[in-house]
Amino acid sequence: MKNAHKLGTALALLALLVALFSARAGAASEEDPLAGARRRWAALDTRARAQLEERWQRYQSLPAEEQRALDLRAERIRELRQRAQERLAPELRARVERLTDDKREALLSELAENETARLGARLRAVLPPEAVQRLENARPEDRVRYFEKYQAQQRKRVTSYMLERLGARLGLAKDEIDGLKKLPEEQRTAQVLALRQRLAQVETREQGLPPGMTQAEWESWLALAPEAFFECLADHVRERQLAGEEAGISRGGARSSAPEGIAIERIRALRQLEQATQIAPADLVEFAEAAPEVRRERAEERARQRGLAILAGGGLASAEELAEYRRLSGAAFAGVVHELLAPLRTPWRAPAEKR
Amino acid sequence: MKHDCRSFRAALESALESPREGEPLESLSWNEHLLGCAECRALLESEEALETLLESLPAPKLPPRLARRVLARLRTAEHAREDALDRLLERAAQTQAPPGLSRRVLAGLESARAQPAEGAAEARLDALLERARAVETPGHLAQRVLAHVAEERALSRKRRPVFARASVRFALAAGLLAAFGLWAIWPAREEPARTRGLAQLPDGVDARMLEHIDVLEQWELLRRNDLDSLLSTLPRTDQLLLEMGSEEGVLGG
Repeated sequence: MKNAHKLGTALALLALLVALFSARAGAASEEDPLAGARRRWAALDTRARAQLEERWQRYQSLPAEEQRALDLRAERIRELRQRAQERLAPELRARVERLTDDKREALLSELAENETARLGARLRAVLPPEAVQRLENARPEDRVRYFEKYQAQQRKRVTSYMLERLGARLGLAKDEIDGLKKLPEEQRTAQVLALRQRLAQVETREQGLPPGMTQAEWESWLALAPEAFFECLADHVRERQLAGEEAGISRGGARSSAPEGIAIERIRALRQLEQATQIAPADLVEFAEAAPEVRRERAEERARQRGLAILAGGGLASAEELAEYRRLSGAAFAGVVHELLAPLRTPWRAPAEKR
Repeated sequence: MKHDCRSFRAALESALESPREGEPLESLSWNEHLLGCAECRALLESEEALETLLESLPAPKLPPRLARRVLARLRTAEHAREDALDRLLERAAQTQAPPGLSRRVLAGLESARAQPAEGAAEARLDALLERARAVETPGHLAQRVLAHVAEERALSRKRRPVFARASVRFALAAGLLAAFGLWAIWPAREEPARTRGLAQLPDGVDARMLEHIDVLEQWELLRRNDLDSLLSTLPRTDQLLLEMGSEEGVLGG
């Protein structure tokens, strides 16, 4: 009887422990992706919900491929939004957190939109002018299809070229290079990035660290995955160019130099003009409490004023030109800046002209 | 009860108990008290009715030899009892029973029957202890011992806490294990509904719609097909390839 008593107690305690752990695990597993989506849905008013439901009906009427494309683009925008938020200074990030749900959501959407505009403008600058013209002249309903076709062509073209070039620089056998070129598209891209990282290690051993790079920083880059390494490399090149300094290293592996025929000081000033005339996330956060259109207008004005200061201080405009620029509207001023930044856009060379 | 009532009822009682000595019931009917007391009137009426009934019954006539037979029977039973005890005692003729033993035994039995249980127990204990005269027992030992025993019995008769019972613990353990088992299989039952993609959440919202809430909230931005929007939403590796290709001068027109 005593043994039965003890057994009953032990069994009860064991069952209680199991139930407690299960409840905790259950609670943890209950935080699924839909929980966040449900919170966002609950924060919407009736009008916003009706709008989302109407969009959902339109989404469901799209072909499956187009739905997938939208899903991927939404994922990308979410990454850009997160990156924009992470790049805010701590006090600005805290200020965003203090906003009400609807204002915070509106501001973060605007930051994401701003980030996409900056990134899009930067990438447009690297495309050949003919490609830009053909794509911009396409009918809106055709542009997505043309763009996807163009992107697929360039992906194959660049990966084939880079596998050849990087393979040769690294001393790979022809058979091995041919084998890499026959890989599926996704694996081909991954191999390009991996070979690029290997080449960077070889070049550093041969030629020393890239300008502006410390040994510790370089070693931390080498420890990254190929895609992350390439991101750091691209950011480094961009920052060096913005500062008007020699990047000393290119994305493709050649040790680059400044554009020919242009003074380094002018390059530096142009880079600064390019950066200054973009809407700063900090400005959007500063005007977080204002209505969206007011916020945008004030942020654009700030960018314009910064640009005028660079034009004046960097020797990019005479006094008369500067007076003329001050009288221009926002769109007209943006057009002038675009023309001034032309030397920064990489000159396109036909494949036959490559080194 | 009023004084007049008491007087009347005393007269009524006397008439009933000693009909020749007391006032007859008939004359009590004319008693002045009855003019103002309905209760006493009702009582007299019921007694008169009973008197009438009894007078109407024939007088009991016992069988002539009944009394002789009953008395004889009683004498016989008494003699039989005494004879049985004498015969019993005569059988053990060699046994020298102490004089008056039977009397003492009978007296002891009667005394035991008359005493309450606790008192009997105490008396028995005292008698037992008296035998061991060499042992000096503390005073009122018997009472103290019995009091302690009574206390122990009272404690054992108290109900044990519910959770101290093994049966309750077993039931609790079984219930907890059953609840865990139900929880373990419950998500598996819910999961198919979610993967079917047509599940409605408890608040009526389409779960698939919530899975695509990013797309729906960014709809305006996503549906833009200007070149900058298309370029900015390329996969990151494609953007890196464009920049790399641009640097190398291999992008096509």
